Amino acid sequence: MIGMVTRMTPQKGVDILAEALDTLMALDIQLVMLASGDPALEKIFQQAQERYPDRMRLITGFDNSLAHRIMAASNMFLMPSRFEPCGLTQMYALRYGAAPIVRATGGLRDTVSEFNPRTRTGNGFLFSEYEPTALSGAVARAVEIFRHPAKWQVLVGNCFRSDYSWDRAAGQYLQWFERLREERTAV
Amino acid sequence: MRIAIVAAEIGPWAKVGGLADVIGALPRALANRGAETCVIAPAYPALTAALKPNQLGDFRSVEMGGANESYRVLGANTPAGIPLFLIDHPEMFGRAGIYGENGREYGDNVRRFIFFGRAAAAVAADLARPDLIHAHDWHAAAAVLAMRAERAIRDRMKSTLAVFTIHNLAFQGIFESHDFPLLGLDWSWYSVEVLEFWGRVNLMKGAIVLADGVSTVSPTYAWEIAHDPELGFGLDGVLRAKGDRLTGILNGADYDEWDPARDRLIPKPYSPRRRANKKYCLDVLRDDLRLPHPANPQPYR
Repeated sequence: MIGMVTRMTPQKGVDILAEALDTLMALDIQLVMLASGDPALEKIFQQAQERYPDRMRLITGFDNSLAHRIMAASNMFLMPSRFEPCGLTQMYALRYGAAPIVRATGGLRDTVSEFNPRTRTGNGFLFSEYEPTALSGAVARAVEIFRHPAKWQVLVGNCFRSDYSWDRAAGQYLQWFERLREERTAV
Repeated sequence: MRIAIVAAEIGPWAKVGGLADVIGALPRALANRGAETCVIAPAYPALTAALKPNQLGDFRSVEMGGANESYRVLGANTPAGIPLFLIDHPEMFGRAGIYGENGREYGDNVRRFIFFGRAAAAVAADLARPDLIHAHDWHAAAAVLAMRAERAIRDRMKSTLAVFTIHNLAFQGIFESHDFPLLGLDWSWYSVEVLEFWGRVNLMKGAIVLADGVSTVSPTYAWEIAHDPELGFGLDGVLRAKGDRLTGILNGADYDEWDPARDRLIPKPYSPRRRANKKYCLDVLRDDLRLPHPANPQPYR
């Protein structure tokens, strides 16, 4: 089960997802999207839902409860954003043990690292090129790991351990403020 | 360290977007680590109704292009004990919206938030007296400009650090040069090095140039906005020039709302030690959405 909670806009990468959809559906996955926005993009995924009634659901509109239930149910969480200054939903996904599959941009690149089953490091899957094939390649890697429950549980453990609390952020701000203060008094 | 946060939004009372979440959570997190933190924000009706502030001192005023804008400062504490200084100017902030209403921006936002930033800097200089001012997005950019360039304030703020954080680079506070006098600055600041931007005035550009440090909400995004013209919205050169004074710090996640062990919105709570319930959550969602349960093995058994 791959979850998505997003706005239906090109910034969020749903345009390359639409192009990659047939390839993804060949990977034996289910995709649940909670998203609304651009009507033309919504229509593409509504039509896909008719083609793949057992494999995908698009729910439009804002539904906070459903957003939580999708996080809790998902094995993987997809964010193929074109750009993403910080992004918070990938942090929630990690907390809920849903391995993020993200484009390596902005805050996504800073919070998600590629899982390596040999070294048992990493908490998700990344792709760099803003291309449908790069997206489906990352999903395929995730699905391959998912087929090995022991490896998958290592990955999920890494997700749970990822800490992006406000306490951590505040510590970084204070460290930076102190550095600026030292530089200023040094002048 | 004494820190004054200056921002146009503060959650949960005055919220449009993610900025409000940051200003709702960051002060408490800083205070928990020992920093003396306060917030300076406009006195929106939702804030004053919820927090019942008291007036601090006399009426004050800011001279803006010939007009005297007078205001009061209201003091309150958030339930978490963070002191707030609220800039009370009913004509500008006693409105239903923060930036607009019914999908339309207010026509005088430049004037409103120049006033807010300048008043915030004056309140910091006179009342809050911080070691550092942390201004957020273009709505607070005038506070940085006043600290470093406004005659009546800059001498008193010399030893105060000015820090500017960019949440949304798409909105920069750009306006026509005939409104430059609203800033109360010498025309020499209207230069390509500081505030001039393609024949207009750009508040965010000025704050980036004059701040001691500039940050945005992740390290990679900090690099991207300084090196990718498509993401830099015309400010990539100015940001690149900040060198190592441009940094990226990730926002925190709200783990009070998003924690599967305490989440009341999901079918069964689960945690790293009790993962089996996650599979239950998946089964329930499949039923809810009428998706079939596949036969292949599931790791969550």
